[in-house]
Order: sequence, then C-alpha cells, then structure tokens
Amino acid sequence: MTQRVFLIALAALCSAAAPAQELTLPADGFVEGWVCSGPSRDFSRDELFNHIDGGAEIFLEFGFEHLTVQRFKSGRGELAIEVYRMESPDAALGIYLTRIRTEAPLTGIRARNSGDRLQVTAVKGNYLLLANNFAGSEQLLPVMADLASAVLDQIPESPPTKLFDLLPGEGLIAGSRCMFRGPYGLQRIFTLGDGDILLQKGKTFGVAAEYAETDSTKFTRIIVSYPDSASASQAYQHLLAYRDPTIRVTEEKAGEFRFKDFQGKSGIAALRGNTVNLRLRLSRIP
Amino acid sequence: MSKSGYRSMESLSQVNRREFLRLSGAVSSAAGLGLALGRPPLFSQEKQATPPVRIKTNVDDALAVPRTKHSLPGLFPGKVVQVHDPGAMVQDKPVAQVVSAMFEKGIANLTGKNFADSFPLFFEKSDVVGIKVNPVGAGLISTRLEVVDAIIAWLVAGGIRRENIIIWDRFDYMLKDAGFTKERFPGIGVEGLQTMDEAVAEGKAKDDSRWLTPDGHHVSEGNFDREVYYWADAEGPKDKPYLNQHVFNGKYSYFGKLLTKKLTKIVNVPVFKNTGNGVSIATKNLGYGAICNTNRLHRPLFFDVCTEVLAFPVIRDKLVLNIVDGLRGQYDGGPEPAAQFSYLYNTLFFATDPFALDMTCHNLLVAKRKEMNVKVNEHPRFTEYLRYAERLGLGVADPKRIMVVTV
Repeated sequence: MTQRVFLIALAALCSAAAPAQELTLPADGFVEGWVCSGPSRDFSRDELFNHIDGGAEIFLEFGFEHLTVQRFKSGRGELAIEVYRMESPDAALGIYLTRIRTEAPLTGIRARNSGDRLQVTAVKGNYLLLANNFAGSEQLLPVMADLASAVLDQIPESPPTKLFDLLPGEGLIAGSRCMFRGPYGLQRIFTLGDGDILLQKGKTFGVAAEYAETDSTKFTRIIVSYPDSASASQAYQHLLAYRDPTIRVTEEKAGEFRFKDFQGKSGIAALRGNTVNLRLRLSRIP
Repeated sequence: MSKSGYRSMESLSQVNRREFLRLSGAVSSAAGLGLALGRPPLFSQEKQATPPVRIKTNVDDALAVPRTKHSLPGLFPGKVVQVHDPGAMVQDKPVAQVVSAMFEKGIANLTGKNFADSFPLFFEKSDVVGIKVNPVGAGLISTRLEVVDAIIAWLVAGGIRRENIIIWDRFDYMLKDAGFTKERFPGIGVEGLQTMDEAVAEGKAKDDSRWLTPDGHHVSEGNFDREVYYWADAEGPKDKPYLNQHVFNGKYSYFGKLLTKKLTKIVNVPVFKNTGNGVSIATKNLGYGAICNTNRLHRPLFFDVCTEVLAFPVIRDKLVLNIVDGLRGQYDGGPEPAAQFSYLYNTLFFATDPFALDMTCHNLLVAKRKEMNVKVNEHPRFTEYLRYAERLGLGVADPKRIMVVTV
C-alpha cells in the first residue's frame, strides 16, 4: 500500500493566508480493486498551462497555487483526481462557481459539490477537487465519491464566505451567484471594457448574481468592494473613462451614471462608499 | 480535465502563456492586467471611451489579389444547411450509413442539385483535396472518422484519386490521437503541418532532439512556406517551449506548404463547440490551423485572425466547402474538450460560406448555453470578426441575410 504525501510546505512559502496543509492521496486499494495508475503529477503556477492550456488563465486570476493529479485504475475503468490548491477559501469557491452550471450535489461527498457520471467538482477550504471518470460509467459514481471524500475529509471546514453578503437578498435568483477577480472572470458575465476595467488588480473580489426584475425579466447585479473608498472611487472613474464603446452614457451625476448597452438595455453604475455597484440588463431604469 | 498539451484553438483573449505568468506574477500591478488585455490601465480623467489601437497586419496584401470563381464566400453566400437525424449516433458512436445519408442530403440541399451533379460545382478530377479536420478533443468532440469517410466516398465517386485526398491538421500527433491514420484511411494522405514534442512540452522529458535540430531549428520548419505568410506586428517569446509548439517565433506566421504547394481545394470539417463566449468552429479551424506561430496572435487580434487568415488566397480561393460535425456538440468549457458540457446533437451543417456558418452556429450555441443555465455574454465583440469578414466581402454575417435550410 503506497501513500503519497504532497502539498506539504509549499503553502507556507506561497501564501501567508493559506496555512500549510498536508494531504494524503488515496492509496492503492482505497476501494477494493482500485490502484494508482502511474505517479502523481504536480503543477505550479507557471506549469498549469501544461495541464489545461487554454483554460489556465482564470485559475491564475483567482489565485491558483498548486495542482496535483493522480490517476487510478481497476478492471472497471479509470478515474483521476485533480486537487487544486488556491490561495484562499474565497478563491477556491470562486473557481468552483465558474465550473458548475446547475448545481447538482452527489450524495456521499462531505463537501459542497456538483457533478455527474463524468466529473464531480467539489470545494472545501482552499481546495478545489475534480474527480474524473473517463469512461463515464454510471456504476463508478460511488467510487468517484469515495475517491473525492478520501481527500476532502482531510481538509478542515472554513467559515462561509462573507463576500456574498454584499448582494441584497430580495429578488436574488437562487443558484446565480458567482465571483470574479479580474477580466477573465468578468468577461463571463458582461463586457464593461477591456483589461482590468474595475481595477481589481488581481486581488479584489467582485460578486455578481441574477435578480428578478419583473415576472418575466431579470437583471444582473455586480458589486465590487474595495479596501477603501479612494480605491473604489478610482475604479469607478476608470470604468467611466474606459468603458466599452457600446456603453452609451445617458445620464451622469456625481458618483453615478446611467447607460444603454449594446442590446438597448439599461444599466446603472454607482459609487457607494468603498463599493462600485452595477445593475445591468435592466428593461427600464427603476 | 482533458489530456494536457497544445490546444490549437485557445480561448478568446487568451494571453500568451509565459506573458500571462509574467504579468500575473506581479499581480498587484494594474499595469500588468491592463497590458494583458490591451487597454491603458491607469486612471485617466478622459471621459470618452476610445477604441483600442489595433496592431498592423498584412491583410491588405491578401485583399489586393484578384478573386477567382472559387473565392470566399463561394458559390452559396449566406446559405447554411442544417441536417439532423436522431439516429446518427447510437451509444455515442456514429452510424456510418446514417451519417452518409445526412451528408448526401446536406450537399444536395446546399447546391439544389443531386448528389452526383453537385460534385463538379466544387471539384475537378485533377484536384488535390485537403480535408481539414479538428482532432483536438480526440474521441469526444473531434471530427468523426465516419464524416470524413462520407466525404472521401463522394470525392472518389466523383473521380478524384485516393492519393490526391489528404486529411490534415496542424499537429501530426493530434491526428493520430483522433484516429486519422494511414491504416484507418488506406490510400489517403494523412499529414500534420508540424510536430511538437508533447513530453518536452509537459516537462516529462528534457531531450529536445525529437523536435529541435542541432543547429537550433524546429524540425518542422521546412513544412512552412517562407514566401506565403500572415504578418502581424506582435511577437511570441523567444524560448524553446514556444518554439517547440509554434515552430517560429517572430512576426511571421507562415502557411503550411501543404496548402501553398500541394492542395488545390480544401474541405473544412470542424466540430461544433464554444470557445469562451464565442465559437471555435469553421473559421477558427483554419484561421489558427493553417499557419504556425499563432499564440502571439491571441492577445492583440483575437478572432480577427480567423477572418484575416481566411482572406489569403491560399485559403480564400481553395476553401470550397465547410461541413460542421455536430454529431456531438459542446456548449461550454471549450475550446478544451469538456465531457460534462458536451451533448449528442446528431447534426451536420453545410456551407460554402464559413462566416455565415459560424454566425449560425454561434447563435445556436448561445441558445444552448442559455438553455443550460450558462452565463452568456452576448456582447457583439464575440462576433465582430464575422462582420469584419462581411465588410471584406468574404462572407455574410448579418443573420437577416443568412438563409438556414433545415433538413
């Protein structure tokens, strides 16, 4: 029976916010008949492209630190786990939310998760975990759950994120909340402009969600909370100055501008203390 | 997660990998991310949004070349035929007879002539025909062998010799991974424009001798035509990992000699998948698949490469047909293969006009993404390259002027 210890001291070197964490990969026989298939592989920040070329940018933007990949095999098929250590629980949750669509938790995994017979995605503490089932066999779902749990159970719970506290509850559409930490994440939601248009500087998280506007329409709310009001003001001014050319300002007053977007829908951008608040895709200005 | 290695159709706005790391390494720097995505990052009192400066390219050289009867958008500008058959895939495998029948219907509905009579509209018996496949998501979302079988059968029935049919892609190892081998297609050519040492790229091996000559040149340099190139005022890194993957690293992206010297016609057979908020279908399959040294182009030019590379006569005047393999589609996670976002679609698309085809497929994928509860950014920037192509006279992008025939 082999044990692989990984992610030992690197965390302490990489991030003061992320305490050193020792995790042990599931050993041969974690479920009867299943053994490791080849050695585990590790990827640092500058190697992540070698694993997910074309998809690494958003991981890096959220605060990726380290990835370990291990394959397992048995006569029933082949599975793999990918353990991504992020710099904080918020970073891990942020990347988790970019990867799931309609959250569908599997039973038997003691962490927030979503998945199906092909892939399970889970998040706990600073970690994002993927369990992949290459053949897609439904019968392997319990093994995927055992595999994921063998790693996840070693990770202590972290307090719930407070980032979403920024979003008002009224009208919020369940399951629509997400985060972004820069242009790659923001681009998934809306195009406000090129580059780091909200001056998040790779550090500040933004949150977004869908809201019911009327019985048949919805709008998108984005809130970015900066360390101080001066930073928020600078970001607001930057947005106003470098907004996307399709954002046509219709009204501007101190700390707020209203606009029409490329679809003729309305929007409001407002500076409120240390936050920049946006409401997008409105049918009408409230 | 997919198999690691090069992916020929990286995400929209993807920054060169080393450049991104350099920038994000100093992640507290606003200048870093601003530079990465092309806008001045610093606060400015300027109240007018200004469009980013676009880098220069040599597309005007291409546009100056007189057109031929086969030039894009081809014989049927703005026409797209969509053929669906729920029996095309059984247990996730294509049913060859059904696919063949779909192919026949697609061609006939595109041309308005019967299958056999359609052949001479596009080909002469002396043609050397290149079938450009997309092998990137091998086995999941790659071009299906059965679709290529149907194309070959039609070409051969029309009188083209098997040795004058060549299945090709940019990377030789990807063709093999996806099942495009000479054993599977006897008598048919199978050619990659270049090789790349995956083991070295992934850091599993240190021996460069399989891709680098002793005098420091990529072994595939000779496969690219120094006389026919897409020039853009942007350079990639001058390091070995980039060279392994891209053959050259200056401001020139040379077209493969296969296209410039050998092929007289091209049939483009991409797959139906997204890349970020856009699509990686007909125009990307060639825009980033027919030339080398491409990663440098993502940041400054994005999808415009798909338009401008196709404007060059070596493609513009040879690309006679586009057939999208939508037997399986992928609505999210692309361009990487992502099993959890792929689905049986049992559809083939046919067009001579790759830009009308991409616009049609883009709108279908947007609808699918909405249906599947994916966040959708419908900003026009993700289809601007198609309108750019229309302005250049290469295709039709206005949905009102695109005729979609469903079969």
